[in-house]
Amino acid sequence: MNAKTQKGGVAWTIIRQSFFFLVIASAISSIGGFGLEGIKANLFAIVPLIVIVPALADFVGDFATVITAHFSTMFYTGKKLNLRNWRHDPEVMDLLVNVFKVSMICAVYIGALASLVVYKEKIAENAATALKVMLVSVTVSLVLISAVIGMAGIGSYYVHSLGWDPDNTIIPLTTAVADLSSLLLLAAMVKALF
Amino acid sequence: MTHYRGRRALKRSKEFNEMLLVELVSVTGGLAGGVLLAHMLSQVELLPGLFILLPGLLELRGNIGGALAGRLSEALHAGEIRPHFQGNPLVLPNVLAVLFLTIAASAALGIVAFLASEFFLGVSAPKLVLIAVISATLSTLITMPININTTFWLFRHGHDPDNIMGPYITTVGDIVSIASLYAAITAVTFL
Repeated sequence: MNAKTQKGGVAWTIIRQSFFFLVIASAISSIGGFGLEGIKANLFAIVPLIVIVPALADFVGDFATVITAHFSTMFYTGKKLNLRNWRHDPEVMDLLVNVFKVSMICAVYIGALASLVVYKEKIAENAATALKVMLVSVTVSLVLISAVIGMAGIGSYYVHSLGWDPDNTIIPLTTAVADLSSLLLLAAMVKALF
Repeated sequence: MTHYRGRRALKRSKEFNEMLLVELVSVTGGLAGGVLLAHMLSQVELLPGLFILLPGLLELRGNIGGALAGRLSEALHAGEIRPHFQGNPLVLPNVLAVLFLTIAASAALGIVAFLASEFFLGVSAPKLVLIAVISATLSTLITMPININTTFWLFRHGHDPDNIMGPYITTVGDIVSIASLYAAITAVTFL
């Protein structure tokens, strides 16, 4: 919300910068929804997988938001970033290392908790199904978080270089692509494992 | 140099703790939302095409709310605004933008889901548009004041909203969104 933004009206600038990306994000997510429709029969048969859908979508999207918001704040407070030398930037490295460590812990946590919940709630028929739920959630989480880290970091850098706010553009796009990928990967694993 | 390294390690450790704690809570909230969803499967089954709507609807609230918190956080970090509602020049324009975006984007999402189910599944479900708009608006009306207040509160208490708000919004939002979806389905079914 710098001087340039205020000149055009804050609300209008937010709408102008966000709307297109939100619609694109929604369209991309709908493709992910197709993935879910496609395995609907399996999902109804294996209800435990429904339990992990919102958590997985959240988890990957959360990190996209955290990374983008951090980059956005760095740019906004006047920090100069060099994409080629990002490894030598302590602030960027600390952020990425933290995100990676937290995501690894959470990936295992989602899997363990989901297995426990479906087993205790008697949603899963047996321990083997619960273990498969764990395998699905851990694999989907680990694959996607690596992609999201790169996508949010590079995307924020380029959007900022165009003079746009990464908060308005990269957050919806990254989470949409992450959601779509997580649902498609989930659908593929369900087909393969169940 | 040693002093700088010590400060850096301290900051990294503080940020790690903030992220980890909030993310664990967020994931737990997501699983609670999933359990809620699993228990309303009979209603999901009644409306073909609802699964097409679901991921976008859950994500929409996170996208709009996350960006709102991100914008406020930027302005707070840059010292452009104070962390209070009253006399804050950025709150009203953000509220208006968020409301407009919620209604417009959820309507677009509903139309996409409606068209997709019509053409690809052969099922005509215009109610999907109404369900999308009602549930997204309801969930935004509940979560937006909480988001703004929490961003300000965190900043006032020395925390970085960038680390906490994204996961926080999805935690609160998942439960509120799924409950709003349930309310919208029930309302539209009775229409």
